[in-house]
Amino acid sequence: MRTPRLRAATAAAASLSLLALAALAPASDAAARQPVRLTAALSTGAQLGGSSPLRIGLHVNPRLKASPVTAIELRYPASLGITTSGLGIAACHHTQAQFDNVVVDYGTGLIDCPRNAVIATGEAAGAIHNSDDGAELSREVGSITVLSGPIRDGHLGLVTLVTGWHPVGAELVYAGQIAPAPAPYGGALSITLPPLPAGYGAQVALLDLDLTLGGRNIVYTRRAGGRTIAYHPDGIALPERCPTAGFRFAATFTFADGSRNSDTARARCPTPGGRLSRRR
Amino acid sequence: MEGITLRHNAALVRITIASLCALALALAGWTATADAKTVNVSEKVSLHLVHKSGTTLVESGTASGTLAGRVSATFVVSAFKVSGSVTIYPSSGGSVTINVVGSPRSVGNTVTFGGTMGVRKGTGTYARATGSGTFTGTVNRRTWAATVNAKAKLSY
Repeated sequence: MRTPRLRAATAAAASLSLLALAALAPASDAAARQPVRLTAALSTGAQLGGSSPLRIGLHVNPRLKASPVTAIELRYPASLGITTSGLGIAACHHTQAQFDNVVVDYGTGLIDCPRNAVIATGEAAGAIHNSDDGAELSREVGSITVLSGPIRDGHLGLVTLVTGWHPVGAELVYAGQIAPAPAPYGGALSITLPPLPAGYGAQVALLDLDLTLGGRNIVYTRRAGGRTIAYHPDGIALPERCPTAGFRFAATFTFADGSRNSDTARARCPTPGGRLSRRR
Repeated sequence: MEGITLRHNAALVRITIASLCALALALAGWTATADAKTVNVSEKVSLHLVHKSGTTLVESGTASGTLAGRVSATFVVSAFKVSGSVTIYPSSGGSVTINVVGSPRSVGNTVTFGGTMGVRKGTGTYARATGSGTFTGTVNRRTWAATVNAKAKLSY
């Protein structure tokens, strides 16, 4: 159970991290004219042939896209080892009814999921709109956790939990999956963001998402010698050579009005010394 | 006249010998085909990780069963597909290289998977090997140690 003090602290932390994210984002005119924006980066100490956290940033410009996002597809490079990472060694099971209802009862989220299912964590910000007139009621910030789910139709399922910190504090759950993607991509992480059921009288429109896959804050446990041992799972497995064109990502956003917008990003390659190259 | 007959006979003899040789070669070939063995192969393969890079796993281990011996394998792993090649070096000599394509069937620290396979090439006794089959297995997601059970029909 989270106390009000803890909530206030986490809300403050969320606001600060979102401010930091905004500060990192390019402030050029071109970026300001983009309805959606994608950023991707490996960690500073990443080494080819090793493993690394992968930071993904997604941004929707509400001035250019008033319609809420209903689906996100993030295509990742074929050379990055998502499955060969140490992530997602357990599955989080949620029912279709929970995904349909979107809002889950407080306390039934990650508590019901094994911690060894956590793939990514981060922060999210969204606008809450009145369902009737579309007026923005407030902006919500919160944490986001992506977990591996069961395999469905041959594809690895994903479960995305969003825990609002401020001002509403609701807990939302979204379904997703990792599916094949055309070359040069190795696969696509997709998350569907259906509208809240009519009874809530409100809709959530995603604005910002800052997600780190395989971050050092993820802790798994394993049993050894009758004891439970905590450890950090390996992040995304990197190839020994950087692809000629770098690690290329693409994101497609689908909106409630049926429109789609895409953006691409390139994660810098680590140099042999473990520093990220300046080449974009 | 006699000279013509002798030349004619000599030509006839040469043609006959050539025909017999061709027939012998054909028979030899037929015999070789007839001697091709077709066996039902049942293998249990234990693999351990040698090297991991990006989506590629290089593994080695041992096979027990019809073709008992050393095994080396390279797999490319995605969230929805595992593909690669497995080479078995039977202790009796030669080698068989098999292409495999499969998919994960569960999520967990120990993942189950299954798929199909086809013989790609061979050396020594198995130089002309052909065949196909299916496999199932488990892999530990932390250590990448794998156990594979394969059943195939192999001709060589």
